[in-house]
Amino acid sequence: MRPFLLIIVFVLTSFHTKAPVVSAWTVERNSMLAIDGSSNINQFTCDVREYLRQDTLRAVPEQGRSRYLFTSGSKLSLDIRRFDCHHVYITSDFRKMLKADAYPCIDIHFINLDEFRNGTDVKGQVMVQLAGKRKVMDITYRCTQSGPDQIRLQGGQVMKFSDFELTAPRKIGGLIRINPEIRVNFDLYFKKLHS
Amino acid sequence: MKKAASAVIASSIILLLVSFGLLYAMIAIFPKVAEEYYSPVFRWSDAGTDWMFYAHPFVLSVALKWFWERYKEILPGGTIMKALELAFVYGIVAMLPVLWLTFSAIDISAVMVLSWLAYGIFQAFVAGLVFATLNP
Repeated sequence: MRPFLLIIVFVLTSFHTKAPVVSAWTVERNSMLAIDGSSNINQFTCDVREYLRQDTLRAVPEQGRSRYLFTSGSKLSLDIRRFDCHHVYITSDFRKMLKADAYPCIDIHFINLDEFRNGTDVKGQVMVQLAGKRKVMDITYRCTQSGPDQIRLQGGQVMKFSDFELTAPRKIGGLIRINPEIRVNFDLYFKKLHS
Repeated sequence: MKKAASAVIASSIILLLVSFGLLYAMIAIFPKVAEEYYSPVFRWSDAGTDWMFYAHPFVLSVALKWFWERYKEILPGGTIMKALELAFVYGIVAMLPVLWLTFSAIDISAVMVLSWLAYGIFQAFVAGLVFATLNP
């Protein structure tokens, strides 16, 4: 009798629990990501100015907190070979440095994001996967409404090559060296998908 | 022999300092030219090859000292003239043909090759000054 009652209670309470509303956002083509670096002879920017993949981020509101949790698979994937450093030699070194032959993509997995309002700064976490290594990072985004059902997230994050066990290249006995810190700037456009 | 060895050691140390000074000056004054060192034809530095780069002044000093000992009698003039003569002989006989070949085979600019020629001639001039002073 007792197990039977438990089943009834479970079934009844199940009907009262609302399934979380999943919102889905697709990454728009005009999104861009740039990496600013420097050496002891110059500064350079390597960027991807067009997002060609059809990636979708899916998020659910986190209970008791005003933020979203992203479902697994909510990631941006950038082909390292599409980065242009606007300098043929630096582009070649950049790909080699990031081990593009073995790991052709930089993946940015979204973990969580504060509830966003137009024109505000929001915080979130992402896990960056680069050259076979992963690192969770706190990111601050500038969030703006760029159109109906469209949002724009802008921001930047300083990283070190050593975060991903990469070595900044040096040439001619180390006299020419890339500085170990880079700044990743992004300008991402998302469009809400309606199911 | 002791005199010759001390001349080689002194020349190596001075050449090492002068070479670094010249390279840093080149990076500071002509950064656009220095950007060419990003080219894939130049290997990335690592412990396996860096020592060869830093040993270069020593190798050059030994080679030039050998030449100096054999031909110093026929080099004309005083200290500076002898050093200049050594520098131009080295530049014309040793560097020019090799750099000519390098330029024909490797994708580097003429400016880069000319900078190496000037760099080598200046290094030989400095070594010549040391030899002519310490071991005339």
